[in-house]
Amino acid sequence: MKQIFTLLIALFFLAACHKEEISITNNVSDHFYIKNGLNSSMVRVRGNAASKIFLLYIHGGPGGDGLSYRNNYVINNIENRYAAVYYDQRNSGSSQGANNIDELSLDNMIDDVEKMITVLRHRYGSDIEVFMMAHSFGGLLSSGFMTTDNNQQMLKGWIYVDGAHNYPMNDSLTRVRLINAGNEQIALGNKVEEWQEIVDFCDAHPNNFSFKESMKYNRLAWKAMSYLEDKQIKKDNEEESGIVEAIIEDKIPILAYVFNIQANVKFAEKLIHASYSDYLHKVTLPTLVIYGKNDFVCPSELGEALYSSISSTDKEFVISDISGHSPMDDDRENFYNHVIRFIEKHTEL
Amino acid sequence: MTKNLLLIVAIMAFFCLKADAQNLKLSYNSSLIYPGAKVGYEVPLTTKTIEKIKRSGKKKIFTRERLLSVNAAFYHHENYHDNLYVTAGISFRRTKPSGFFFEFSPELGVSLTFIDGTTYAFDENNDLEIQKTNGYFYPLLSVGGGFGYDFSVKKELPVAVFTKLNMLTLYPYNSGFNLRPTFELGISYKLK
Repeated sequence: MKQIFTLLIALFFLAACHKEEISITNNVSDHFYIKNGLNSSMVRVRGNAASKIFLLYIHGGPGGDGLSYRNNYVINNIENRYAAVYYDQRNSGSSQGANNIDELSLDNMIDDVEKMITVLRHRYGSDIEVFMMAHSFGGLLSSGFMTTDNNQQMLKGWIYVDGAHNYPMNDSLTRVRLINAGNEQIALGNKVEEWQEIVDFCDAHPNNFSFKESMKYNRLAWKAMSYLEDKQIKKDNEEESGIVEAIIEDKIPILAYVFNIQANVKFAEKLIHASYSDYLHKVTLPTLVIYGKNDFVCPSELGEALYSSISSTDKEFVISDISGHSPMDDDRENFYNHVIRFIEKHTEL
Repeated sequence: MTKNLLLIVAIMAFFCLKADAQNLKLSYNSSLIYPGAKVGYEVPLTTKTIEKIKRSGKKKIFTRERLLSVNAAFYHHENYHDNLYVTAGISFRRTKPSGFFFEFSPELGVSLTFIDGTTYAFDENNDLEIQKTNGYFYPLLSVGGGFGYDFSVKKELPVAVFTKLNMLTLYPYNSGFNLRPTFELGISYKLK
């Protein structure tokens, strides 16, 4: 038994040794990990790495995953032009680690992103151009990244999608939206009981939100959007979700994904007062801000606040009239047309 | 915690190897679609033959066994990790006179993962380096149940076949825990 076990361990160490494999073609499918402290974050790079243009997705959550932004439209319209980088933040998606709750902080996540871009340059060349596309919680993380040291110099552009750079402001704006939409829908006689419940909660919890209240506002925002959403958009999204393909082709550890989301609730509690509003003036990078008009989770007024706070002279603000929290899904073609136009405008390649 | 668990597994392995009666188990052990293998030793702790009279008056006879087991297993989850784990536990087995048996087995152990992919790290000077191997130790709890057929009950064949579903819990995994279902299909050989 002892010999068998020793042999097994030795074989495993041999099999577990990994050489660096890099492919720079117009159809790469790479994955690698970045270790920082007790965490190893998964990075997947798909598409046209030969273009030298990299679109880096900073996902939402906390506890989401990079691959959730990959769908047939992205494969056919983004990955054929650029390399898409699907990055799983620490304690999210396919990222791995042991007993690292104490290291789960925004500062460490910002450091992770910095290291990840350094690795991208190491792998694919120092002349690559990286455009960061941040969504939802990723908006908070990317705001932290942009305003720390000279990080923004690592990028060519910032695409900020329904982001949340200021959590307390986010909750206040969500509340206002819920009250306005609630009163409007009640007047129209639509789902009166449901909307009344939402309005009553908003009236009873006007400010200084606790974590519990903040989470409740988030849940009510999703509920409100589900009352108002376009059923056709929902159907299209469901057809594209591709969870089975993700498990089989991308080999995602589905249970780890689920439990990572749950475990991140504790981290979300730490973020209740998180805000980068006071630092956004440091941002001078070309920036494209895109929001869904019907987003209750991160209302577009947050985007307006960010847009007016950054010092970038080259900046755009786009509203998708038909979108909720995820214009990259709800208004796919229009959304990615703006993204492609923004990248083409700012690339020097 | 992992050190203590390793010690427990080592002590139980020592007792298993010193015991008179042993079963050697070999099985295909997949984490559902990800392949792997498992090898284990079992030592019967207690064996009781139970007779019960049913309401219909028929006699129901079965054997109830408790077995100490130590196991080493792995599965390969491509692009994610290889997980090598050792466990020790107790199997509760009920065997019918026909040779069919059912069992339930809680096990404790330690898991060592080897991340499947190039890992980049940064040293104290913030210089980039490639780590040849990367992985983590996790305390592990496995709970499994299954059934099989013991050929030694009716024939002089010291072999049993079995299938089993296990749920591995790795904790603490990131800031929470992780569950891995595994499926076993194997053969057990009575050594003594």
